[in-house]
Amino acid sequence: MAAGDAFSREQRLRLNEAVRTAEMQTGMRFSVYVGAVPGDPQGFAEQELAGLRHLGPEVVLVVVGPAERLVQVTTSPGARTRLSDQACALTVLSMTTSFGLGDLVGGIVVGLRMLADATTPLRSEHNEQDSHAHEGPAGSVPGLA
Amino acid sequence: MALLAIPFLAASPAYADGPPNVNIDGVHKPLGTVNIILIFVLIPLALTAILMLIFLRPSTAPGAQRYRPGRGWDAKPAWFGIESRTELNRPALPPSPEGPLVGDVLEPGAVANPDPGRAGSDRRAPSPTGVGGARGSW
Repeated sequence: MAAGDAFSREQRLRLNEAVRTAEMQTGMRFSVYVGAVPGDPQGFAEQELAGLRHLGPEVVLVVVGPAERLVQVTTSPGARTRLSDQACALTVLSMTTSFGLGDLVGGIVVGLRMLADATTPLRSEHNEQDSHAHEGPAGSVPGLA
Repeated sequence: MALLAIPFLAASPAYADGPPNVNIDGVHKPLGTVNIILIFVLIPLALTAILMLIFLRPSTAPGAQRYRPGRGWDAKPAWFGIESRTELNRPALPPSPEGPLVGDVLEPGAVANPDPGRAGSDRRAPSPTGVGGARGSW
């Protein structure tokens, strides 16, 4: 494969859209790296995650090494409280299945979606939903009071 | 179903006197050299060429390089979302005993290690930074 851009314009749009959707759904920041992974993947991912620290406390980095045939999902300490390691492992399993079939873009998109779905909603949203649930019946039918 | 049967029923009288390649006397007509070449050589070759053009032509999408498991990957590293800042000042990595990695297009030079004391096999130890996640390969 000759050196050059890995993805077409449509694929880039699709991947950027997937990242944006995951960020809007969870409120966390997502970043995806596709390329060479020199050395230890975990060390590499943590190093890159440190470079994303300016984004906030909740950052998720997805590192995909097509040449090394590995994928590493790394969550910052803040993001780890909302996205469990088990959910990451399940996502990685799904992603590797797609990658094994040659579907790099599809695997990443599905992985981001799974990560976003597995992320616990923000506590404020919980409280808001709970408060709505408590005041629901009386508030929705005021005439009954 | 009845409509589908109409062409066959309509065509059947044409075979009343025998198949097309058979004379009334029952003697087979020779196809002829030109017809033989056309039917058994040129038409199959043309079909093969069309199928090869359809399935073996290079991708027309600009910049697209299809990933095939097991093959090399030397495309440029790509970021989606926000790019890590360490990418700009990556520190030099120790040379791998297996030689350069396929697809390693990162510039040699080197980089800000967030934890200078952590190197080599220490990186494989569980992260003391509290980060989580998972890893897999295919």
